[in-house]
Amino acid sequence: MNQLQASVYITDESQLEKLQSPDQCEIILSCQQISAAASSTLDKMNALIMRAQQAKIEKICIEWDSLMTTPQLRDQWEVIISLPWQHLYALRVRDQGALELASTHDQIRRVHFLAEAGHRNFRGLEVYLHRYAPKLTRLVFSPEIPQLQLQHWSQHLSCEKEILGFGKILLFSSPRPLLEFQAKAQFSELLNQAGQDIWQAQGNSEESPHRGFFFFQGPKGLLMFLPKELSLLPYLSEIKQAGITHIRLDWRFEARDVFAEKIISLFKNYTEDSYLAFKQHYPAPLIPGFFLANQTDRQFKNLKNTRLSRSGDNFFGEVKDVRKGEYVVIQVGPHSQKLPLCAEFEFIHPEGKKGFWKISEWANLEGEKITEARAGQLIVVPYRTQLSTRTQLFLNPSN
Amino acid sequence: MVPQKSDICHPMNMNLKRLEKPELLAPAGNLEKLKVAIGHGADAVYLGGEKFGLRSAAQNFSPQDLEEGVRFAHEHGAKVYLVVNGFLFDHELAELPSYARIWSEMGVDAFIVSDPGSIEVIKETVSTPIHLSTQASCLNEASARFWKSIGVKRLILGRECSWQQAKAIKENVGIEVEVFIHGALCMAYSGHCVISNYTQGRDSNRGGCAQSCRFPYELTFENDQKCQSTFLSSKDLNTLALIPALVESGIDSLKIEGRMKTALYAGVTTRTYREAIDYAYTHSSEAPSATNAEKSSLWARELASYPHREYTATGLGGELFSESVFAQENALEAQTQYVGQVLELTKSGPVVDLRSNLQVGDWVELIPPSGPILKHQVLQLKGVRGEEINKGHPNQLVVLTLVDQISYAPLQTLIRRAVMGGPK
Repeated sequence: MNQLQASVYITDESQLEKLQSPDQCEIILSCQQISAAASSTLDKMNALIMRAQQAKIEKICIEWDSLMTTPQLRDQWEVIISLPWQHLYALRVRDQGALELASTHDQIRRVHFLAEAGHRNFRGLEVYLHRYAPKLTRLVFSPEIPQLQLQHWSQHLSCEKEILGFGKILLFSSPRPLLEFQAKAQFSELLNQAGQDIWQAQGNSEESPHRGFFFFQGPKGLLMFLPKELSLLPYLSEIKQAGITHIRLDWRFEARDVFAEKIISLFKNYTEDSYLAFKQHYPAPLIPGFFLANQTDRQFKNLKNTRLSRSGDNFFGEVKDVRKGEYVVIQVGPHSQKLPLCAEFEFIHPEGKKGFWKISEWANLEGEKITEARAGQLIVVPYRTQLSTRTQLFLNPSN
Repeated sequence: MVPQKSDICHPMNMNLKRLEKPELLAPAGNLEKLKVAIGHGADAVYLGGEKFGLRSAAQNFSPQDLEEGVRFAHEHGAKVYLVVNGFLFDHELAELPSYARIWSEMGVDAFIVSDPGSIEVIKETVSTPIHLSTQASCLNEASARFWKSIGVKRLILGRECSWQQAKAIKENVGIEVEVFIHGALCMAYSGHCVISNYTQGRDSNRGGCAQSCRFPYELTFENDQKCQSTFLSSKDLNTLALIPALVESGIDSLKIEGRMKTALYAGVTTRTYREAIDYAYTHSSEAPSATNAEKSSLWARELASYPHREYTATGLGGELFSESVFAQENALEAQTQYVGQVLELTKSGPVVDLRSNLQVGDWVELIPPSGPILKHQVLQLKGVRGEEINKGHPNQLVVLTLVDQISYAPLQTLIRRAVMGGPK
């Protein structure tokens, strides 16, 4: 079984000190200029790079997780290439444009691709590896991918594989500074406030079964997180078995970094008792997300439209009007039709009831008898009970 | 005849000669809406099949509907793009080739796809062009190069791109670009929202979006200040004012959102943008005029006539400012009501498939696919056998007799209740 390594976010020097055997750790740094989730400034990130080097941390990764328009990409790329790449291990990117640029830059030795949103199949992941290997050394998978699928992918992908192992679950990201708009619109004393980079709030909606969504807004936009947090710490052996090489531990928001030491300790020496004790003190419910089963995958089938109409090779047409005791109007389907007398049809009522119907007389809207109808034509036939508009008619194959 | 120097050298004239008129791409939630959209001027429509799309609640197209829709579109010189933009898992991807073959044989003009895996599978199976869905949030030139390199013919750019950025992507990367010009907007980067997945067990990116961004939220800020707001809810996009710039930009396709909306929406929106695009294309060298302002005002009234959220041009028109937030829970009320659609013409008058009640004496507006909107009073209502009726109900066919009995009510003419009733 492969070795499972932790990759941790560091936002403060004090967190470096909490790392046990820091020289064996992989750390992720970022800053407001290149990430919506970062609260550090570029200067602070550079200071952390230096401090991490002093702590002999070899694997210092930079996370550039913005999605960008062309001018934004250009500006942020300037920040990226200003970094001391001779001391940095890898660049983590989300935007395909960032991947494209990073793959051509000589000093950036490794690129990790955050293949989270929108990447749910193996063929798609292969495309990235074919195009960007050998510089693309790691794929970061979505938390919506279940264990069995991760296992299948890991067996066939030659790169490193990473998933989120502990931390907040990102639900929504927007480039718009929506919290700031809201705060300034509601609280007039904030209207002229300038220079506040970070805005945070808790949100509840009566229309949602969940309480306590966390909103974080940096200069690059707004993020929304689930009130429950992800913890795969009880499943470390399954994760290893699935072929995952790296697990990401995230304590960046809401002062969760006070739990950093304990989380690392659980990662290194997990016991059920210590985890239960930890869970009791942790300020948010912890869930395994979709690791064990992807509920959304099942739901998709349930959601599939059951109102699909006009299907089947024998589809003849659809009832458009019913005048009780007098007549029924049928709109002929996509093909012109011969109209034999006493032809038998199967009908399906919109509520699902089925029956058979022999039609003895056909007329057009002018009241003239007809023996053929063009596609889409309205034809009038004698009344029959049990029908309503949107009843579908199918030619009986035995006619 | 020797061209005048002014014809050749005027930069605007040179520009015009180079420019193609952009495609107007309309939503087709079902076969009825497809015919209405094409009848009212769409150059192309996009629609979902039975599987793999993002609109589970839309009626969508059975194979028979799709076959008929493609035939109708092609007979009228329009194209059909099939949406296959759900984020597909491996087992779904395995089913894609057989569907792609069938759809391709039916004559679908392009597939709208959102991930590299689906692109690879479609490329291997058929030669139908591939358009990249806005779900992939392609926003920049470098990203555009990636998608082009794996076989994408057209990019439907993320709604965070301005039209100037879209133009630059087209010119600098050498790829077709498509932008949304009208309809509902996601506040999130498209394809990067999973609220429904975790809160409702429905996959937002495969047809299960529960519209959680439209909910009101009570926010508690760090200093314990509280407020109630629909701050995640976006206004609707309306870029009527940008149409002249969009036409001149060379952007390939201008897209209207709204497969779930009514046939009236499909018809009126398509017709309005059709007129605006055609006007901008033929008058692009002219200075703004009174006629121009009058037409703009008329088009704006049309786009305000059906239910919608407040409008914004943000995103395509520039920065994503606070004005894009729709600070209300419900859409603005419609100024009119969809009455029905002309399905057939008889000697007695047009046969209308009713969608709302209609009675003798009501004032209605007939919206033909082209030409002016005509206001009429309903003089008489008949059933299809000529029997007189006082009131027609939804899902009933009626034959209309109107004041100034008109012969001009072609198929796909839409009928709505007159906004201000009859003339005073």
